[in-house]
Amino acid sequence: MAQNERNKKDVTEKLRTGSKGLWIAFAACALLTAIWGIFQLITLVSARVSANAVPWWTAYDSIQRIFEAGFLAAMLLIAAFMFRRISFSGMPFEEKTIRSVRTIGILCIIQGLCSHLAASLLTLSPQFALTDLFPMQIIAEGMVFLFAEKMMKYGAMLQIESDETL
Amino acid sequence: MEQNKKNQIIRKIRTCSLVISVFCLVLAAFNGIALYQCINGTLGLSMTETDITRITVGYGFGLAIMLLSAVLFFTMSRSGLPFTKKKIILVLLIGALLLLNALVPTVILFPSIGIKAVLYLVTSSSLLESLMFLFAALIMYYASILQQESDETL
Repeated sequence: MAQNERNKKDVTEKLRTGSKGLWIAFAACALLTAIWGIFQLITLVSARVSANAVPWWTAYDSIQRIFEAGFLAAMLLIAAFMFRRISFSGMPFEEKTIRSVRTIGILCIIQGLCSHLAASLLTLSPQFALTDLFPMQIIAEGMVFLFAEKMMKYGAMLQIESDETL
Repeated sequence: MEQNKKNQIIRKIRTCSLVISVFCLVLAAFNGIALYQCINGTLGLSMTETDITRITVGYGFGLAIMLLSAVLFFTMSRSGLPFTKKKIILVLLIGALLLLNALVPTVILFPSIGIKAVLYLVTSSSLLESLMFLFAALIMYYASILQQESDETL
């Protein structure tokens, strides 16, 4: 039991240090992604205003990239704050952390389903296929995050048990 | 009451992990086909040598990662217990493979394209994903200690 307690303290310390680094890395990536998305948006808008006509395939790619950058920046920011919370408390199985993981999963799935659809609707383009509506990789990532939420709920129960025992 | 809740979650974990393992197998098959086409030279005909090397390495690692993920989720669906040593090792392996996926193209391409290869490393999403998986392994290790405590109490 005492050995377990020591192990737990060691791991908590490692979790704190690790999440500190991750919080900084994810926040920086979120900022860069947001800047890149805004740059894409400005480029698209200014091209439309000045030349008054952008080929639909260029607009399609730009809109898709803007959507992806927006969603990615949001997900990275949520993850950054999640790591920040863990770096303060050292506890990975808190209610707020679990909610963050679920939100990231839902955003992943929405991004997968919406970015191509939005680009198609906004440009009225004929470039649309079923594979665009159902991009498997990003949806699988979303599913993994939603699954991680279930695992974390189980972990939270173990944590409560452990706290009550002590 | 608590035990009931735990059993419910374990049941959900079992079902979800089975679905995800099937998804992983399908993605592994896609990666395998793409890798085969890259090696055969039927994919990326209009691409430069640099891009072909990058995507070939990417599909190779993608195949390995998806197969390992399928094994991880399948074993989880069988046992229903997410925090065991075997699963922690699998998550660590996936994290290491993601790290290699980010590093290997840079190392291979550095002699031919120089500093531009470092850009591939910095902009690679694999790097962040690998850090997340390695951190997840640490969380799982913490949970495995809690699991051990819980088992000993019962």
